[in-house]
Amino acid sequence: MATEAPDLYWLDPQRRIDQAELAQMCTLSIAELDELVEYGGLVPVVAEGSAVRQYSATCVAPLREAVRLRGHYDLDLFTVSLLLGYLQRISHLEHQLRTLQAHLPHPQHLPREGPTPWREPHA
Amino acid sequence: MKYKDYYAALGVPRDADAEAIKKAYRKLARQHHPDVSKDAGAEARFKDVAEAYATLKDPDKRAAYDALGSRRGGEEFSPPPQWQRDFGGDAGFADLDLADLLDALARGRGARGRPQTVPLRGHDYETSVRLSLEDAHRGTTVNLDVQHEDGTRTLAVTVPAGVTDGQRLRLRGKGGPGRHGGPAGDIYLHIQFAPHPVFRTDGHDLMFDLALAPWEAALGAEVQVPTLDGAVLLTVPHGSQSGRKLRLRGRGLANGHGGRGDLYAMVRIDVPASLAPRERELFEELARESRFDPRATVAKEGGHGH
Repeated sequence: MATEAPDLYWLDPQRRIDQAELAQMCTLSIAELDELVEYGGLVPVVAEGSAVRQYSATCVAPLREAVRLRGHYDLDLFTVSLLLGYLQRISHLEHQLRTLQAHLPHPQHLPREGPTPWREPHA
Repeated sequence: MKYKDYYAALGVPRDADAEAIKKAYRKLARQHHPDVSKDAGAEARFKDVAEAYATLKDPDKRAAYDALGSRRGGEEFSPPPQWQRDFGGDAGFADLDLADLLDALARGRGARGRPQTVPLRGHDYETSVRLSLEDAHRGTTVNLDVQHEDGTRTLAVTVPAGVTDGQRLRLRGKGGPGRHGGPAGDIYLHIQFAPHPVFRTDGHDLMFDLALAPWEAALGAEVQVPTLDGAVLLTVPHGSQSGRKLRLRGRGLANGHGGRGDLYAMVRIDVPASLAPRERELFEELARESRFDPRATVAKEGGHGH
């Protein structure tokens, strides 16, 4: 997406980030990123002919959140990989939920007339 | 510089072992974490225990801290002259607190084996902004208040047309300033759309509920519907069922590449809450004459099951 400021980046699925930049953005080392990949919490983008690993920019927000919680609770890296998997799943499900809610008709709140249901006390 | 009693913050004795310190920290972190606790002072308390733990869990930092001796929390003190040399000569302590100083000392020793000035990267900031659909469609500028050591600064960020709900944006180098030659931090911006009274969004597509009278749905109609560009006439085909989606191509949000999403009118058939005598007559006549049974399929399917 075009922007006016050269230092402004959208963290979208189309954008790929080199491992060194991702490590810097998430205050991790490249060795720690590799370990998260080994544990299956982080999946690099398959890039043909690229010598360095690349990642989708969508992993930045959940990875930063997982690293934040790592610091707050002194978690080990394996726990961070589990956490990252769940955070990504939550993010995906939240997106699905927002999409479904957009497609659902919203109930109209109209003043009801006629007899009241038996559950409600009569006026 | 003010002394902080890290042992008191964690509620452990000065001779507590690493395991006891970790256990005490995790218990307090869980109790006061801002994601969990809604108490007014929880965040400040969490920061205190996190700062204490960051020092006491690191043997080098803990040794340096212990070398200061036992003091009262809040007591003014001067760091040892050796620290001044270790930290980088003339750099001074004026803009540092105890935690920063211990951190820098540990990093300087650990990284290069001998003390020297350590470049520190500036803090990252995370924040969210709420945009109206109209602003997202046309593009807008949002003003962010960014905390710096020299006060609050306002940063104007141009959000181009084409943004969608939930998108995240990185503003590189716009966060807290670095120290000793370190790079500035970043700002991470989470875009959220404010609820709109009419439209809902799915990416660049817009949805809204189109209420139709039973006769409009049955016979078809031309109805005026809202769009972001003003009202337009929509042809409703005859026999439109409740839940049907009528698409207005290219009437959704701008996608930032010169195109636009679509607008979907979602049909909902409303009936009058009360009937005038003549309306009642007409409906009664329709009920007598019509052979339409909306439950015919359900009745057949129900019959198969028994």
